[in-house]
Amino acid sequence: MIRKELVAASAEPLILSLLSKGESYGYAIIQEVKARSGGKLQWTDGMLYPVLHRMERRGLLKSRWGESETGRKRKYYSIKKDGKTAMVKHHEQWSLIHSVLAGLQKEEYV
Amino acid sequence: MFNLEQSIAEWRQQMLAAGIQTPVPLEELESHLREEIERQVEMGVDAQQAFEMTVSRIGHGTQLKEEFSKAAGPFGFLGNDKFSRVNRILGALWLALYLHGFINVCLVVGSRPPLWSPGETTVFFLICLSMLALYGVGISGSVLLLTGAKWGRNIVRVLAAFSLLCGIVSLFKSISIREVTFSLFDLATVWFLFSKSFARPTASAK
Repeated sequence: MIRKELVAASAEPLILSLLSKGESYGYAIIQEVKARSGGKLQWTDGMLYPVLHRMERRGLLKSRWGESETGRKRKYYSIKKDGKTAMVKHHEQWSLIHSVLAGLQKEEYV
Repeated sequence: MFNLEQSIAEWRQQMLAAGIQTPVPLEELESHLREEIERQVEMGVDAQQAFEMTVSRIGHGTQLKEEFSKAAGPFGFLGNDKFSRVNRILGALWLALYLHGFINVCLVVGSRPPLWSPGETTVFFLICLSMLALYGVGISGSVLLLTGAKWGRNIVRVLAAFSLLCGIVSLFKSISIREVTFSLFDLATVWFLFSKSFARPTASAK
């Protein structure tokens, strides 16, 4: 099971990366993360929305109200320019951490 | 017998009671709730079980309220989004101005010279009454703006334009720093109120 601190820390870069591929809404974002992680990364459903609102307040995302196929109201989120900049920074930082960990792991098995 | 719509309505009431606001974020959470219930029911899960599981996964209202408050930041009390915050700030500003004007007119009415003729007194009271009515409309518009209603915006727009017109007329009579300052303020407000970037109330999200 993934530690909750890691789940929390990875939420923003994951949301930004998903939204960089196109507009989406909360429920779909949760399902996409679950599918891509093979069910290992399951966010608490309700907790995603405060994160999305915080990111919107910080100017990383923008939102609009739309309608689903069944006519239900749905709030769609898309990434803004500042969000793309933040996403690139996140990628750099996570890549750095990954490369250090991978290097250490390689040394362990050599 | 389990009634899904009734259960969702009760869930909404619990969320509202916990302080979760509508339309944001309650409409989002309800939309999520319904989609997940639909997905589970399609997979063969009983509707009641799907509802209970999804409500549990969404989380308790007070816990969510705390998270949303943290997300809203120090100015979250002004509203959930940029639009309602701008509306409320503008509404408070105009309310202060109209209240100030209303009180000033009341003070003038109370201090009228006692030796005026009936005709002069009538004209004086008619003018004061008109100004009180105008400021009263302005106060109502500002209060509506504070609550995020569309009518509030339109009332304040019209009165700000009228105020600008009076300001310009005053400038022809006498130019002073006070008159110029107020006119510039009116001009900036009118420009902003009629601009495309003027905030729309959150009520229009419906």
